[in-house]
Amino acid sequence: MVSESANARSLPWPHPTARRPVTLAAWLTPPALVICGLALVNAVDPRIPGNYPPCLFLFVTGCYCPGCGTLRALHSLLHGDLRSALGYNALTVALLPILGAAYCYGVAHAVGRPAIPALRVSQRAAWAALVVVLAFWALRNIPVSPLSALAP
Amino acid sequence: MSGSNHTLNLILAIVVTVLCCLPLGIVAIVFAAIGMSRQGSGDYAGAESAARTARICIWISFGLGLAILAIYVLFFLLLGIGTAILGF
Repeated sequence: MVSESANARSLPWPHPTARRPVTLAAWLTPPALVICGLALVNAVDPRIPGNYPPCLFLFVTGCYCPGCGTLRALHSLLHGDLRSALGYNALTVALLPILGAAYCYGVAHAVGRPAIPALRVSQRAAWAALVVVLAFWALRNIPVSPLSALAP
Repeated sequence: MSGSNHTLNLILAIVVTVLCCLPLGIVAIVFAAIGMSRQGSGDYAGAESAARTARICIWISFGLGLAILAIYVLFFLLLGIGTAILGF
Protein backbone atom coordinates (compact mmCIF):
# COMPACT_ATOMS: atom_id res chain seq x y z
CA MET A 1 0.00 0.00 0.00
CA VAL A 2 2.83 2.38 0.90
CA SER A 3 4.90 1.59 -2.18
CA GLU A 4 1.80 1.96 -4.32
CA SER A 5 1.04 5.47 -3.06
CA ALA A 6 4.70 6.48 -3.37
CA ASN A 7 4.62 5.23 -6.93
CA ALA A 8 1.44 7.15 -7.66
CA ARG A 9 3.04 10.34 -6.36
CA SER A 10 5.99 10.06 -8.74
CA LEU A 11 3.87 9.46 -11.86
CA PRO A 12 2.36 12.43 -13.70
CA TRP A 13 -1.06 10.82 -13.56
CA PRO A 14 -4.03 11.54 -13.30
CA HIS A 15 -2.97 15.07 -14.27
CA PRO A 16 0.13 17.19 -13.60
CA THR A 17 -1.97 20.07 -12.24
CA ALA A 18 -3.85 17.92 -9.73
CA ARG A 19 -2.56 18.82 -6.28
CA ARG A 20 -2.35 15.23 -5.12
CA PRO A 21 -3.04 12.16 -7.25
CA VAL A 22 -6.05 10.33 -5.91
CA THR A 23 -5.92 6.57 -6.30
CA LEU A 24 -8.89 4.61 -7.54
CA ALA A 25 -9.27 3.03 -4.09
CA ALA A 26 -9.51 6.48 -2.51
CA TRP A 27 -12.29 7.49 -4.92
CA LEU A 28 -14.25 4.32 -4.44
CA THR A 29 -13.98 4.00 -0.65
CA PRO A 30 -16.62 6.62 0.26
CA PRO A 31 -19.32 5.30 -2.14
CA ALA A 32 -18.51 1.70 -1.14
CA LEU A 33 -18.98 2.56 2.54
CA VAL A 34 -22.15 4.49 1.74
CA ILE A 35 -23.60 1.55 -0.22
CA CYS A 36 -22.77 -0.88 2.63
CA GLY A 37 -24.41 1.49 5.12
CA LEU A 38 -27.50 1.94 2.97
CA ALA A 39 -27.81 -1.84 2.50
CA LEU A 40 -27.70 -2.27 6.29
CA VAL A 41 -30.28 0.48 6.85
CA ASN A 42 -32.46 -1.04 4.14
CA ALA A 43 -32.25 -4.52 5.65
CA VAL A 44 -32.62 -3.60 9.33
CA ASP A 45 -35.50 -1.19 9.93
CA PRO A 46 -34.33 1.78 12.07
CA ARG A 47 -37.95 2.68 12.90
CA ILE A 48 -38.15 -0.28 15.27
CA PRO A 49 -36.63 0.73 18.63
CA GLY A 50 -33.79 -1.54 19.69
CA ASN A 51 -32.60 -2.36 16.19
CA TYR A 52 -29.92 0.31 16.48
CA PRO A 53 -28.48 1.92 19.59
CA PRO A 54 -30.07 5.34 20.28
CA CYS A 55 -28.22 8.52 19.31
CA LEU A 56 -25.49 9.09 21.93
CA PHE A 57 -26.31 12.80 22.26
CA LEU A 58 -29.99 11.97 22.84
CA PHE A 59 -29.04 9.19 25.24
CA VAL A 60 -26.82 11.47 27.35
CA THR A 61 -28.63 14.82 27.21
CA GLY A 62 -32.22 13.86 26.40
CA CYS A 63 -32.20 16.46 23.59
CA TYR A 64 -32.26 15.78 19.86
CA CYS A 65 -29.05 16.48 17.97
CA PRO A 66 -29.12 17.86 14.39
CA GLY A 67 -28.44 14.31 13.12
CA CYS A 68 -31.18 12.50 15.04
CA GLY A 69 -33.52 10.69 12.66
CA THR A 70 -30.91 10.33 9.91
CA LEU A 71 -31.17 6.52 9.73
CA ARG A 72 -34.98 6.63 9.64
CA ALA A 73 -34.84 9.38 7.00
CA LEU A 74 -32.47 7.28 4.85
CA HIS A 75 -34.66 4.21 5.31
CA SER A 76 -37.71 6.22 4.18
CA LEU A 77 -35.83 7.60 1.19
CA LEU A 78 -34.77 4.08 0.17
CA HIS A 79 -38.44 3.18 0.15
CA GLY A 80 -39.32 6.26 -1.90
CA ASP A 81 -41.10 8.03 0.93
CA LEU A 82 -39.75 11.57 0.72
CA ARG A 83 -42.45 13.02 2.97
CA SER A 84 -41.54 10.73 5.91
CA ALA A 85 -37.85 11.31 5.25
CA LEU A 86 -38.35 15.08 5.57
CA GLY A 87 -40.31 14.47 8.75
CA TYR A 88 -37.51 12.43 10.33
CA ASN A 89 -34.65 14.77 9.45
CA ALA A 90 -35.19 17.55 6.92
CA LEU A 91 -31.62 18.82 7.27
CA THR A 92 -30.06 15.48 6.30
CA VAL A 93 -32.35 15.17 3.27
CA ALA A 94 -31.35 18.71 2.22
CA LEU A 95 -27.65 17.90 2.69
CA LEU A 96 -27.66 14.75 0.55
CA PRO A 97 -27.68 16.45 -2.89
CA ILE A 98 -25.06 18.95 -1.67
CA LEU A 99 -22.88 16.08 -0.47
CA GLY A 100 -23.29 14.25 -3.79
CA ALA A 101 -22.37 17.40 -5.71
CA ALA A 102 -19.31 17.95 -3.48
CA TYR A 103 -18.17 14.38 -4.11
CA CYS A 104 -18.57 14.68 -7.90
CA TYR A 105 -16.77 18.02 -7.79
CA GLY A 106 -13.92 16.54 -5.75
CA VAL A 107 -13.49 13.57 -8.08
CA ALA A 108 -13.69 15.71 -11.24
CA HIS A 109 -11.04 18.09 -9.91
CA ALA A 110 -8.84 15.26 -8.65
CA VAL A 111 -8.67 13.87 -12.17
CA GLY A 112 -7.76 17.36 -13.34
CA ARG A 113 -10.86 17.55 -15.48
CA PRO A 114 -13.13 20.11 -13.86
CA ALA A 115 -16.09 19.26 -16.08
CA ILE A 116 -18.35 20.34 -13.23
CA PRO A 117 -18.32 24.09 -12.52
CA ALA A 118 -16.53 24.93 -9.29
CA LEU A 119 -18.65 24.87 -6.16
CA ARG A 120 -18.75 28.38 -4.82
CA VAL A 121 -20.64 29.56 -1.80
CA SER A 122 -20.89 33.26 -0.93
CA GLN A 123 -19.75 34.46 2.49
CA ARG A 124 -23.31 35.35 3.37
CA ALA A 125 -24.43 31.79 2.52
CA ALA A 126 -21.63 30.40 4.73
CA TRP A 127 -22.85 32.31 7.78
CA ALA A 128 -26.45 31.48 6.86
CA ALA A 129 -25.53 27.78 6.88
CA LEU A 130 -24.21 28.13 10.44
CA VAL A 131 -27.44 29.85 11.51
CA VAL A 132 -29.55 27.17 9.79
CA VAL A 133 -27.75 24.29 11.55
CA LEU A 134 -27.91 25.97 14.98
CA ALA A 135 -31.56 26.99 14.48
CA PHE A 136 -32.49 23.48 13.35
CA TRP A 137 -30.74 22.00 16.39
CA ALA A 138 -32.52 24.37 18.80
CA LEU A 139 -35.98 24.47 17.20
CA ARG A 140 -36.43 20.70 16.86
CA ASN A 141 -36.12 20.41 20.64
CA ILE A 142 -39.05 22.76 21.26
CA PRO A 143 -42.16 20.58 21.62
CA VAL A 144 -44.64 23.14 20.25
CA SER A 145 -46.95 22.24 17.38
CA PRO A 146 -45.34 23.83 14.28
CA LEU A 147 -41.78 23.25 15.53
CA SER A 148 -42.36 19.65 16.58
CA ALA A 149 -42.50 18.80 12.86
CA LEU A 150 -38.70 19.22 12.87
CA ALA A 151 -38.27 16.58 15.59
CA PRO A 152 -37.62 13.01 14.41
CA MET B 1 -5.67 33.47 -3.72
CA SER B 2 -5.15 31.07 -0.85
CA GLY B 3 -4.93 27.44 -1.83
CA SER B 4 -7.64 26.05 0.41
CA ASN B 5 -11.09 25.15 -0.80
CA HIS B 6 -13.23 27.06 1.67
CA THR B 7 -16.49 25.81 0.18
CA LEU B 8 -15.45 22.20 0.63
CA ASN B 9 -14.37 22.98 4.22
CA LEU B 10 -17.78 24.46 4.92
CA ILE B 11 -19.65 21.47 3.46
CA LEU B 12 -17.50 18.98 5.38
CA ALA B 13 -17.89 21.02 8.58
CA ILE B 14 -21.69 20.92 8.27
CA VAL B 15 -21.61 17.20 7.50
CA VAL B 16 -19.50 16.33 10.56
CA THR B 17 -21.71 18.54 12.74
CA VAL B 18 -24.84 16.74 11.62
CA LEU B 19 -23.42 13.22 11.54
CA CYS B 20 -21.02 13.27 14.49
CA CYS B 21 -23.17 15.55 16.66
CA LEU B 22 -20.16 17.17 18.26
CA PRO B 23 -20.03 20.85 19.28
CA LEU B 24 -16.58 20.93 17.66
CA GLY B 25 -18.38 20.69 14.29
CA ILE B 26 -19.93 24.12 15.00
CA VAL B 27 -16.42 25.50 15.62
CA ALA B 28 -15.38 24.03 12.26
CA ILE B 29 -18.32 25.75 10.51
CA VAL B 30 -17.36 29.07 12.15
CA PHE B 31 -13.72 28.80 11.04
CA ALA B 32 -14.72 27.74 7.51
CA ALA B 33 -16.97 30.80 7.30
CA ILE B 34 -14.23 33.05 8.73
CA GLY B 35 -11.83 31.67 6.12
CA MET B 36 -14.32 32.52 3.41
CA SER B 37 -14.83 36.05 4.74
CA ARG B 38 -11.08 36.70 4.91
CA GLN B 39 -10.65 35.31 1.41
CA GLY B 40 -13.32 37.74 0.25
CA SER B 41 -11.62 40.71 1.90
CA GLY B 42 -8.21 39.83 0.48
CA ASP B 43 -6.58 38.58 3.70
CA TYR B 44 -5.19 35.43 2.10
CA ALA B 45 -2.79 34.50 4.94
CA GLY B 46 -5.61 34.87 7.46
CA ALA B 47 -7.94 32.87 5.23
CA GLU B 48 -5.38 30.07 4.96
CA SER B 49 -4.88 29.93 8.75
CA ALA B 50 -8.65 29.87 9.38
CA ALA B 51 -9.05 27.13 6.77
CA ARG B 52 -6.30 25.11 8.50
CA THR B 53 -8.07 25.46 11.85
CA ALA B 54 -11.36 24.44 10.23
CA ARG B 55 -9.74 21.35 8.70
CA ILE B 56 -8.20 20.35 12.04
CA CYS B 57 -11.61 20.68 13.73
CA ILE B 58 -13.24 18.65 10.93
CA TRP B 59 -10.71 15.80 11.27
CA ILE B 60 -10.88 15.75 15.08
CA SER B 61 -14.70 15.72 14.94
CA PHE B 62 -14.63 12.94 12.36
CA GLY B 63 -12.10 10.85 14.30
CA LEU B 64 -13.79 11.38 17.66
CA GLY B 65 -17.21 10.72 16.15
CA LEU B 66 -15.99 7.47 14.63
CA ALA B 67 -14.19 6.38 17.83
CA ILE B 68 -17.14 7.19 20.07
CA LEU B 69 -19.51 5.43 17.68
CA ALA B 70 -17.30 2.32 17.65
CA ILE B 71 -17.04 2.19 21.47
CA TYR B 72 -20.75 2.87 21.81
CA VAL B 73 -21.83 0.16 19.33
CA LEU B 74 -19.39 -2.28 20.97
CA PHE B 75 -20.91 -1.43 24.37
CA PHE B 76 -24.41 -2.22 23.10
CA LEU B 77 -23.21 -5.41 21.42
CA LEU B 78 -21.55 -6.61 24.64
CA LEU B 79 -24.67 -5.62 26.58
CA GLY B 80 -26.79 -7.68 24.20
CA ILE B 81 -24.47 -10.67 24.34
CA GLY B 82 -24.23 -10.38 28.12
CA THR B 83 -27.98 -10.34 28.66
CA ALA B 84 -28.36 -13.23 26.20
CA ILE B 85 -25.79 -15.34 28.09
CA LEU B 86 -27.12 -14.48 31.54
CA GLY B 87 -30.65 -15.04 30.29
CA PHE B 88 -32.33 -11.87 31.54
